[in-house]
Amino acid sequence: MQTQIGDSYRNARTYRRAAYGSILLGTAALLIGSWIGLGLVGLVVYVLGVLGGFGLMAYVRRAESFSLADEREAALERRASHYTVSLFGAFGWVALVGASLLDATGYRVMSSVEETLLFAFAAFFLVWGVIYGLLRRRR
Amino acid sequence: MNTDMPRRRDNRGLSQADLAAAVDVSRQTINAIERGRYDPSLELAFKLSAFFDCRIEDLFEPET
Repeated sequence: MQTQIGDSYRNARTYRRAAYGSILLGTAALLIGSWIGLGLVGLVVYVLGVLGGFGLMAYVRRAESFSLADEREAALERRASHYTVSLFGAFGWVALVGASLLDATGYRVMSSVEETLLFAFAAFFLVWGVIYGLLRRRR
Repeated sequence: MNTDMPRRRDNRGLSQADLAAAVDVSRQTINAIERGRYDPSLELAFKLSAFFDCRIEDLFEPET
């Protein structure tokens, strides 16, 4: 049993390195390609690298008995997402409500870019709320 | 959470990497658990207690 679990740990590490390596390689190709004037080639390698990396992750999720990230890494990702959404929510809310207030009181006219940002901000949290509601119903 | 894991691991002559491979997590996760910086899930706690052949409450105790 111990050997089997150890093997899956090593397999996960190999797949993880291959997936992240593929994405990293694609990103490097994109940067180098645009730097040396081969933008299209860089873009093609980038798309292939990203699709290959995420494809590998999807394959492991469907076909293998192990996962690429352990529970602590998943917990760290959840915390990072929580902090990102919280910061984005707090600063975005203050900035956009402030801009709306200035617009409504006639001190400053809101630009079309700011209006688009306001709708995107509201849409983001609307999607968050819908997904939260769906997850809550399923659990 | 306080843990008796480092002593039990040392008694068996295992490194953090050995234990990590045995219970299918990263070495960093074992290190974080031993240093009290990460509380394992119930599933991982069961795996660890099965590995050390003891009860979960022998391996972990809540901080008072």
